[in-house]
Amino acid sequence: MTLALLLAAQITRLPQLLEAPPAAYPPDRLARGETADVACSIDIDEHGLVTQVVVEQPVAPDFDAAAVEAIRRFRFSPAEVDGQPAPVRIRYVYHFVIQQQRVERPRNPTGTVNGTVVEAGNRRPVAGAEVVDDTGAQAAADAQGNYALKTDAGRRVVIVSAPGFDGRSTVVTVPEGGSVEAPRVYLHREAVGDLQATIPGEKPHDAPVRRALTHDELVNVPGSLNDPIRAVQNLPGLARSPFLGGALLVRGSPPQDTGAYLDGHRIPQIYHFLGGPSVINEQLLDRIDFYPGGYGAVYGRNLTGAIDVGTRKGDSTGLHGQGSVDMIEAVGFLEGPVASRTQFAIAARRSYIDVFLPLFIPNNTDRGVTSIVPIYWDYQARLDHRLENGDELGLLFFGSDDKLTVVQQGGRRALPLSVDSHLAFHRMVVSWKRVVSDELSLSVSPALGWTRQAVATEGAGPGGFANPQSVYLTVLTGELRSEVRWKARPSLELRLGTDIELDRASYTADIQSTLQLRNLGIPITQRTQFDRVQPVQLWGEYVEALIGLGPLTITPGLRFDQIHWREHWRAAVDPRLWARYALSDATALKAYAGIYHQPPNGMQIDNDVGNPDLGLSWAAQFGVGVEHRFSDVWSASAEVFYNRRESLVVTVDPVLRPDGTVYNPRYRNDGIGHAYGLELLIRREITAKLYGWLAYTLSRSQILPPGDPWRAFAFDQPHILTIVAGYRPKPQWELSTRFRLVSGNPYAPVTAGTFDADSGSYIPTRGEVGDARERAFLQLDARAQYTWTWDAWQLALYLDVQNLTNRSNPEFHVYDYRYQDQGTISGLPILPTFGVKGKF
Amino acid sequence: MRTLSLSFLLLAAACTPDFAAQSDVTDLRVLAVRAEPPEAQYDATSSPPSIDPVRLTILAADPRNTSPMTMTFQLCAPTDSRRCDGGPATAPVARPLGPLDLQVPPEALLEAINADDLKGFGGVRVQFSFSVENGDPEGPAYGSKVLLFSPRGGKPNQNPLLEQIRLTRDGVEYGPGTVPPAATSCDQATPIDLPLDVEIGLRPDLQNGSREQYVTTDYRGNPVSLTEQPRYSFYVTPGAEIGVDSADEPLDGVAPPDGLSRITARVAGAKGTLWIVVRDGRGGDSWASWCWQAVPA
Repeated sequence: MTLALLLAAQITRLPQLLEAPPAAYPPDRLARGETADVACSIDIDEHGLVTQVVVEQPVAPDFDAAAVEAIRRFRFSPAEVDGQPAPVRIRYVYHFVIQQQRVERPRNPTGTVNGTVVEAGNRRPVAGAEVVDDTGAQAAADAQGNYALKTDAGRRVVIVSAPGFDGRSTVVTVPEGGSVEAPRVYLHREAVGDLQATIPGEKPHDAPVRRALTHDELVNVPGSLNDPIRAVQNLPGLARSPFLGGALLVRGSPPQDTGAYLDGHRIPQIYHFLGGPSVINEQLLDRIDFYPGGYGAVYGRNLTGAIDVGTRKGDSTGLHGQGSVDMIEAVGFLEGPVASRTQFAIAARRSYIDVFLPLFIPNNTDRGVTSIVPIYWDYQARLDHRLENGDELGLLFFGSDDKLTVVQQGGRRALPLSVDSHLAFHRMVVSWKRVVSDELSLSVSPALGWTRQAVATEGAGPGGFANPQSVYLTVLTGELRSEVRWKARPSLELRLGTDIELDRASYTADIQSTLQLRNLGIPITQRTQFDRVQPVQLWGEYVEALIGLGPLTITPGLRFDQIHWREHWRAAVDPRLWARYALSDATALKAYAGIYHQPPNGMQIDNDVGNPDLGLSWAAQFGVGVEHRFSDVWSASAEVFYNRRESLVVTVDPVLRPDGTVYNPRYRNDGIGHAYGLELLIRREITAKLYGWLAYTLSRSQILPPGDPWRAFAFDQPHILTIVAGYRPKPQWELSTRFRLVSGNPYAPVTAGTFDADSGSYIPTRGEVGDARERAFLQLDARAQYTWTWDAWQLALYLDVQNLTNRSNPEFHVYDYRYQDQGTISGLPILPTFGVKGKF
Repeated sequence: MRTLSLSFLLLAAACTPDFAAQSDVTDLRVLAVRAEPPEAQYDATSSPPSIDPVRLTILAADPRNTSPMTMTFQLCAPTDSRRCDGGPATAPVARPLGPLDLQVPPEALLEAINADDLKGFGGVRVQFSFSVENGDPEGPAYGSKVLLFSPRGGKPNQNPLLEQIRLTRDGVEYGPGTVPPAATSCDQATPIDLPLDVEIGLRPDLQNGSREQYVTTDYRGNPVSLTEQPRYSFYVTPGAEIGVDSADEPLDGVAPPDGLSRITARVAGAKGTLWIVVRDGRGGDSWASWCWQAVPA
């Protein structure tokens, strides 16, 4: 199943209203001064002509009929999908307002009023706005919001209005035989609900299912910290991460089994640490493609899922920006045109949570003062240019930096402790796309990257491990993504591509390592220092076909991966298949099956501390489901899945060979895991005022360690229920809430403790992980936002409260030194955050 | 993810409930077990193998209850829980707590070799699991020690021995400076005076030769020569508290001026016992005790 979260549903250009001949106001309604709002859905063909109008929320037969008749005469600029004109369906509210009196047009206009109509707050053109004056002259604003009204000379009152906006009037003096420039008109939105387009039918590639959430839904969900990518965690298939953690726990698998990508290129992390936001500014997002499983051949080297975040070009119509500050960070964004075919977008973020965090960290005289200093920042800069031949060139720079310093000064009962950790990465991505014809397109995207990871500790462990230790890792990366798309015939599209990554990892370690093969309770450590360079090459090629057979769509794919490190080669062939069968316009069945391989990580294949002979882990994934659209606002989908993971890398004990020597590989591909379940999503799409969804996951995830029975995965959460609802009573107000009910995390209960005389500590007698569970997690979050709109800019103030009822949700069990006393570490208490956001 | 896990664990550590310290002996506790020799030998050429006896001494204490203690023990192959709760084991034997001269049966040795993935490589390990009770309503205290047996020949391990402790106050020698272990019970021995609410540094000294060099096998299966790194554990009866529950013998033998740990008297007029257990990481351990009393600062 694919969850494709589209901020602009693969539409590269929305339709713009060019001509909107007015409706015939029902006379008796007009006489009685009655107004109405008729909500309709409109099908617009690839020429911008209206082909169908359906009233969604009938008001009265006469109003409805008048609205339908008027809308049928509308003319739009065509919408574009992937740069090509395409049919779309939009939602539109026709407002019958008694604001204007239609009079006879003057017969011989002698002057012209020129002007521009834009939306207040963001200065974006209001295409199709109606312009009339006191002589009855009429005009309509074009796609750039410009109009030219031909009228009589003299003093004129010009009235500008548009559906969904309040009207404005201005007075100008028109010279005889000349023209006058009217002041720019800023229209304020009076009704909620933008033009929002969805594509009828399904996304033609990657997966049989597409779910679309709008930018507003994603940003304004409580607890998302204004971050659409965090809102992904409210969808089915994701286990709850403890505290505010952003780890992607997809279908019962650890985070390292899900790949994170930006514009198709892999990145080390998608979220900042300590529950921070994603590493990409939300204003730069164009789409979020989240695959909890069953992803296509385009992605590889992940056992379970993938999340690919796509960035967008800067706005070519004008300079816009946004800035926000809250208790945690400050964020800035700017976009605009550079030349007629060139635009830019830049964003940056910096945290200052270190200033407030000490207020929440308890100090304990036994342990001494604890200082935790997290600092993160990120940036993105994008430049796009369209060549004269239509080719698109793009250049993207982005990077992220997370630093965490923890210092415990030590007290009566604890030695000092310090931990410094740092993760930073920077990337440069070039992209080139050429649309050769309606059937053929090419794209190439090379990238260069630099990643740095460092950890330094002192006092972080018993015995020799308390000595200073450090590891510094630097990875230089070169990547190449390329793809050819060929529509061989209307029912057959082919994709061929490459996914190549060349890494050069160099690391310096100064660590304490246990030397003895066997010890009695207390490992003796010795300082171990080494410098090493480990090159790794990951070659990937794929081919995928989209075959349309009437109501049945089949997408077979094949991916080849070759992975090389030092003298070791590993190869994988991953067949993948999914299918979608449209039972009707409203109902579809879907199914998928596929093989997925994943290589071990650098430490696991190190010559000294790992096992360079490791092989690839692999998974087989299967799923079947159904989706149904009840109406244009209500939809539901359900899916059952099964994942089987094998050859997982696990730590192993040394063994004795027949010749009496010892074999200690440290790691082997001996682990097995599986996950299965049901995912359900019921959604009400955003309309004038209301949106929301209910996500429920019923699943189990288990692992089979060598020599042990099946046991629950650490984040096995059989029941995950999330309900999100948003309400906008007026355009200025946004209220939303989130409710979560999740099974408690499993743990291995301790039944007794035994003193181990050789180590001097106690050894617990435990059951298996899953024999007991923490109390269920239950939390209610809420968010309120108010927006002030002036002509040229907007200011929003928001309050986000997590854990509104201040419920104590246990996260982990802890025990005293001899496992007689126990306690729990609870999640966060009530946590209000407020912020201010301005945009222009 | 690792950074995130680390940060959450550290936050959790900062928010952990205030549990009792391991160094506080307030009820029935097992503090140490000494095997003499810590590495016994057996003759692998004979059948059944002839095995040297081992004398076991258990250090158990209960400041609330002076009733006589009894122990019950079994032998088995090492288990994860350190109790003989699965697989073959000798029948439980109950007796008054005191030095035990143990003769491990050959079948227990052979069973331990059979159950070991490394088949006795680096020494055969037989688990001595026991419980100590004195009628405490909380029940017995459970413990275990691995008895190590190596083929006859070679240089077996010896127990480290504590000679004395050095006392400091604010980095300067305190009181008598060095104090040998109490030779008798605290009713008769001369106690160390601990000023109330004043930290007194503790620096244990080992007898010469206690820190041995030895040859073992590293994680790649190659021989490697190492030096023991003894670790001290500190325990005290109510009325005083220990600063750091355990500390390692410094590699260069030089301790900080305020000792490897600290003891502080907290209750006026209190008297009690301080135990220091030393372990060499190879199954060798021993302990010594000192008497103390709280005095006005």
